[in-house]
Amino acid sequence: MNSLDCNIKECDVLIVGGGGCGIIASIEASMREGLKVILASKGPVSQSGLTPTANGGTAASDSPDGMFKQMITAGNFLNDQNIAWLLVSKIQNCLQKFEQLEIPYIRMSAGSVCVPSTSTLRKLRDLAIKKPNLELLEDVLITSLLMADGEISGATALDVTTGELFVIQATAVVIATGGLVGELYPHSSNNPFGVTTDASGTGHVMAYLAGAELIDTEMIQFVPLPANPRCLHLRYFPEFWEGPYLNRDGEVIISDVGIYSGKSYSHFVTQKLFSELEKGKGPLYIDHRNLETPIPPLPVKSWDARRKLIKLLGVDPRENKIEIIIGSHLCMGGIRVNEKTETTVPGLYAAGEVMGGVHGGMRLPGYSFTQIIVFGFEAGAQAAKYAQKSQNPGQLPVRDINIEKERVFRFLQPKSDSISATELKKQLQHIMQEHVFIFRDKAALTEAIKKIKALKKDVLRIDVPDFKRFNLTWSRAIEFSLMIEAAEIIAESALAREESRGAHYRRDFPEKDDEKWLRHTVAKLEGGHLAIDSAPVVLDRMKPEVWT
Amino acid sequence: MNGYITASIFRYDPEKDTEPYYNEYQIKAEGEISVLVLLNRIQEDIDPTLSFRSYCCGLQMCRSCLMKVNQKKKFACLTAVKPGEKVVIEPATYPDLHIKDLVVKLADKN
Repeated sequence: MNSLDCNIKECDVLIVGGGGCGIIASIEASMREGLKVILASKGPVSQSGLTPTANGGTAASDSPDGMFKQMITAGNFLNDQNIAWLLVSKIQNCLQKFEQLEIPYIRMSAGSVCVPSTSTLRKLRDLAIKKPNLELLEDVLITSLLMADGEISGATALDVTTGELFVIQATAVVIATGGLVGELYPHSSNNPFGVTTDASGTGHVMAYLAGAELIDTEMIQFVPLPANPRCLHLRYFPEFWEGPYLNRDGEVIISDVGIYSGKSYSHFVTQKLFSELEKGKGPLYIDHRNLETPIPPLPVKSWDARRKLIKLLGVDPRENKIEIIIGSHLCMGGIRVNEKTETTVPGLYAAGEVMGGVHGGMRLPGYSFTQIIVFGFEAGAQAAKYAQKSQNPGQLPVRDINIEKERVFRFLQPKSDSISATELKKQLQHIMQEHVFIFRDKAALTEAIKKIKALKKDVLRIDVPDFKRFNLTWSRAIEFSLMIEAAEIIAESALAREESRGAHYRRDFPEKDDEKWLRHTVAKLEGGHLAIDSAPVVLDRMKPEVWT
Repeated sequence: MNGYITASIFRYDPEKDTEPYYNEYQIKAEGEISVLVLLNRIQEDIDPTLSFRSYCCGLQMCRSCLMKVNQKKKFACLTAVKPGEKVVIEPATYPDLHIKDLVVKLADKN
């Protein structure tokens, strides 16, 4: 176990994740001449990840104070205020950087711009491939982070196109792997038509296994979604989600979501809808056939094609009654960082949706793009600075690399009592839907943890056909082995938070408890086991008593 | 509208196969479904050795699911098939940029 039998690639900064945040971070880091930067993405950069599914609405007001107050009040004061302040105070500056890079965006109103997702990603990709000191590794799945003497030293990587496991040695690593909850529930806005976009939380779990902390992962945003085409989240059309929402009997449950600060993203909406389902009054519908108000013009011309698509797919609520279901959308929590995107592990950074502390107990629409842009630039700059300062990449932990290699290739070995990753994922999603959904309580969460722990044992039974070239089943098995850890962390964090705040509702603790729980839940690995702790919230700029 | 869709799919793993061949699958469907959903069902429920780019933006915006459906280049995410129909599914390009089965390397200009 002492010799290393795999190829090694070296760099100063490794960025993991090829969505909007990762590509911005990699371009920013590679602005420093003499630094070698690698961007590793499990799919093709600009054509994978969650960023292309978004419409690009970006909160960017000239009034940082106004944005900040909105974020903190919506977030129920659980946001890290240093992080939130950096976000609101830097977005204009970051948009100027976009202008310098000749990346167009469209001003929609005083408070927001549109950064069209797919065209922006293509433009960013074009910029990235022209950088001589930036290498794009696409179809490369990072499977674990490597540590040496308490500092990050790189990662193990699987080239999905060849099946080769290799090592990327790096002085600094930025995790920009996006979402946590797309794969954990049977329905998710992350999975249009029910097809996965692989928002599987592997980055969260790899960071946790390397010693980083995860905060507030119990804070999960759920949203109403069309039942057919399943989960095609038509977020481009605000008028779609306004309501009225009806139950089976045609009774109006919510007439207009405009009364809630997060509109259709508000947990009040999903809680009301879910209560109706619990009473047996489903299925639920959106029905706009009787609305007489004119359809508002779209603020961005390129969205017209998407509106046409709605009609084509028969999900225009002005023409048809649309059945809706509830699915996962986004986790407000994530890897614990400070405003410099530094995690608690030296050399490890996290940015974009994977980072915690930005949105507190509830995310406002439009703030995710602001988050990936501001913290993409920030993480790229900070990681580059760290790499420049610390000169030597750490030693590679040969033993850990060999153990990881064995773990990854074990999936390809024949099993006597085998089960598919697809089947296990279905079981995990069922557990999360039954016990860790809109309303929670101690009994259900305890049951979930018991079942998840039992299911974890089955990871060793996952059967994967033995071939190396673009083995989708293999990638999914590796991702499942990490995803199931995330499920346990979420359930344990939800059990620890004995109050109701933002998206987290406990039936056995229905009130907010500022005295005990104006705190982050903190999940970390201690002695090889998951431990849940808590930590105070940074409240330096705005205190709850001012608000109430 | 329950019934079966017949899919004939291009298969080729250059590390194992001497030449490309086609596999035929019968997939149960409750109605019209997209080719990408169809491929997912095959990979998850019938044949775990099938390789394709499963990523789905669902809006034919990301272009990662471009492939040939009945000899025409289409986005699998929004190309529908119905029970009773037969589809032939092939990679967008072959042999150029081909990796395995329906997976091709995405060129910077495609």
